[in-house]
Amino acid sequence: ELLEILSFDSVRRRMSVIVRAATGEIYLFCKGADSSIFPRVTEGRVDQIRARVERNAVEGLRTLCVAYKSMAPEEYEAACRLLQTAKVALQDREKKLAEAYEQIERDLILLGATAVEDRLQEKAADTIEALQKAGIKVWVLTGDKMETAAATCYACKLFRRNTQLLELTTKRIEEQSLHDVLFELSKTVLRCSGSLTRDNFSGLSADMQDYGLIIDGAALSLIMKPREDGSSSNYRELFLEICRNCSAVLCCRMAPLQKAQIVKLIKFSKEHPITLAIGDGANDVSMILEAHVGIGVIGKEGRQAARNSDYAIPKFKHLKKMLLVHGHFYYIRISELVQYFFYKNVCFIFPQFLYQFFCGFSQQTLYDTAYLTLYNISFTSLPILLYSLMEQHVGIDVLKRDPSLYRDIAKNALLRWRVFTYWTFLGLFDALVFFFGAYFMFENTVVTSGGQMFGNWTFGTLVFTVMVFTVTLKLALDTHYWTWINHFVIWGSLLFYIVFSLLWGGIIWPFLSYQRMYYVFLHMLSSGPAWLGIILLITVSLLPDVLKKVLCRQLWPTATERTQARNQCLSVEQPTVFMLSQTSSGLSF
Amino acid sequence: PGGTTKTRRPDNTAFKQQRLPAWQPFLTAGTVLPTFFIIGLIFIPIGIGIFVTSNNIREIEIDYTGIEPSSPCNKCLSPVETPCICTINFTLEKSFEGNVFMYYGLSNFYQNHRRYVKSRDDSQLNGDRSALLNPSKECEPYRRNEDKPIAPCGAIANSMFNDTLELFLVANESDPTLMLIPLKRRGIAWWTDKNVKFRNPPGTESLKERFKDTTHPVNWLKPVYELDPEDEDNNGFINEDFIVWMRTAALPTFRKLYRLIERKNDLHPTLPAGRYYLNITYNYPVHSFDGRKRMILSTVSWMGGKNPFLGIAYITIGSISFLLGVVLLVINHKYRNSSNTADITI
Repeated sequence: ELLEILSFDSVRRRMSVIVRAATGEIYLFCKGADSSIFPRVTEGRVDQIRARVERNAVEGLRTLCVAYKSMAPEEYEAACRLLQTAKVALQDREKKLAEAYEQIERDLILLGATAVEDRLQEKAADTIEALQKAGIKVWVLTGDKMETAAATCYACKLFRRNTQLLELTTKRIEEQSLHDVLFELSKTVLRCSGSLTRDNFSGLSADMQDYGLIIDGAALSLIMKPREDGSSSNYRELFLEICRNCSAVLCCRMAPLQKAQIVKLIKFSKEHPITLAIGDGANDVSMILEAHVGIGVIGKEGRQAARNSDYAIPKFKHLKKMLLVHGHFYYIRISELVQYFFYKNVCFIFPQFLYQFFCGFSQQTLYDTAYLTLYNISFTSLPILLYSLMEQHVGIDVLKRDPSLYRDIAKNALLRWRVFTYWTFLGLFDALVFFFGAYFMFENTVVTSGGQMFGNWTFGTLVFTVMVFTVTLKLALDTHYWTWINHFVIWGSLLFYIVFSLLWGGIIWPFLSYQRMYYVFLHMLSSGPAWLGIILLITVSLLPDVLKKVLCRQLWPTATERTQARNQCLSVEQPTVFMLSQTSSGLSF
Repeated sequence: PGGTTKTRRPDNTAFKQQRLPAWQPFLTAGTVLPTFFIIGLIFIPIGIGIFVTSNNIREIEIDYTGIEPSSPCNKCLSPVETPCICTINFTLEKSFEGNVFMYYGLSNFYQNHRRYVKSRDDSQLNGDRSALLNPSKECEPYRRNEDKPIAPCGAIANSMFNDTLELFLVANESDPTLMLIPLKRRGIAWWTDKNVKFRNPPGTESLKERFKDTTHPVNWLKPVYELDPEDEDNNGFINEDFIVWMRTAALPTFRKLYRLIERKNDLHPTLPAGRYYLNITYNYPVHSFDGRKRMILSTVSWMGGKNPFLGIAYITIGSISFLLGVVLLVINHKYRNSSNTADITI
């Protein structure tokens, strides 16, 4: 019969139950981490079991120790009262409960130890290897013992055979001071790296030494502790410097709050990296909340982590596709969306601005109000929307196969100032081409075969037509994944523009107070030079960007572009190989 | 998780799993090179064609503002008598063949100023009776005058160009008689403007009756129904000179079609080479805002008037494109040799 439960908490790392046996005896059973049970044990084969626990930990098994004691009825009564007062306390309930637990759980008799093989999820090693190849630094934050955690890290290929492990553990700090340990470690890592940044390779080269750092919770709290002499920030800097030069970091014996602390430390370090935290248990919740992206694995340990996360996935292996495929796609899509939006609006507004120099700065619009309103709503909105939902610049399987392609978008590569400036200057150049191209072609010149002149609305409509076609064709040139939907929206938007213009100027609309656009579009289309001008201006606007793309691909190809080229080559060469093997075996088809 | 709960797994359709069949192009030198060469090969002949056509177009411009004291029209800047008539003589070196178009051109005249452009009432010009008697507010301050509505209202109508130009040919040197060149005043406005957009107010009575209770614009000398008393189809709002003026120009220096000189049926050129007199009834004052007035005679081809810019632009872009194609070919060749060896070691 169950009498009481002294529930688990992660500070004291144990839990107990008080039961009454059928015979009427009262027992207290306690289980927990070995470091929290052993101090409370007075009897039992302590040394033998301790050795056993160590061995299990080295093998990577998760160990627990179990102990018990029998309680006399008065003892039980006293314990009950203590617990009751603590539970209903209005102030400092946690503290009173902790004291109560402390009081009750003592003088235990050791029963033994359990070991659980916590198998790695399938493909965990594969995922971690892929993430490291992608240039993502992987840290493991766990509450386990150092030996268990290290064994797990070897199993999931976080540490490789030739990784030199550096330890920043309590054991070492007891031997030397924290200061000395940190200096020694930083000298070790900095000796080899020199001026090389470790981001450039995934640690697969044989000659560079691979470092892995192991740190435990106590050491971390020592580093993080604020000191009076202000040297704590130096320790933090030193610690981060060491971490930057290690390919993997293992933090063991971490309390949940310490996990969040370390994430915070990384977030605000010099390079301000983007952090992602993934966990499956309730002890990971604080870390998930602290990181930039928090991912919860919906696992056997309940849904606490998944509920607090930004994204929830069923298995750890899904992280690979999520980051390398979906993450990569979303980044490409959103960076193009942002840049394209600014670009097309620069193309839209700059000719209006230039026109002011020629209309006496009277704010006369170049385009009709219908065009002004519908440009961003109807004529140019759907193509970029569908692009940002569907674009795949390389295939999904290529991205999965080759994680190093992820490095092409590292450090926010597509939304840097340089890229934005390029897009803005392209927009300015295009706007200048539109406006001054139209200006020189139609200024003071007759362009119809009947000798009649264009007015200002025809001039503006010409500029607008060139503009709509140019920005849409620019997006068409940027699209690398043409599904039927892309065809539909891109050509459909252009068609809609033409149909709208024809209808808008097609009749005298009774509800309009002005009829200035009547027949303007059709009249413009009836002029030969207008067609020639439109074709020329569109070509001139698109030419520099095409040239830049081709030159960059030729002279400075990114890894993605090299893969695209290689895929093309391979798909061409494969049949040749196939045929050779067939003929050599003499089979006929 | 029980087995009976609905699975939240997304559908395994091509759309939702982003597996739609797609064409996956990317711009390499191999695909772009032919395009550059094709563009070059197409644009250069087109440019040459346009340039040659443009060069064959004859055009002559006569400025008759009269700013310089030596100009015959200088006396009209501060006229002693109205109307002031001045004459400018000029010579055509080569004859003009085919249809010849006569334009008047203005400079520094901002027909594209915002307040000017909106100062009109399109429903009134479309013949709407209610708008005729109650013009829109956009026409202010040219909306009412002497307590009557102005027809046509607005600043654009008010500033209509009212110089009269006449052209005379000196037949031969010995004979002082001047031959008047017939100037056709129909067919100068857009067909849709004349027949659909601009309509006189409906009615069976005379035009003057239809416009009663309105007054002419402030700066006009005669009312709108007297713009062309000889031709009923060119009087009132559908007067073609008026319609041409109402189509506001895009830039401060512009020209508008004034008259047509039709080609003769025989083989004589429309305007033979020789000396000409341009008779100007100088009504329109432009010197107060530093404007200029010109008369332009021009032949027209399928591509309109003289426009060397289009031809030159096509030739330039065609050559640049061709040049870029050559440059890319060189780069491609050089890099293909060096990247081939790298590709083999995959």
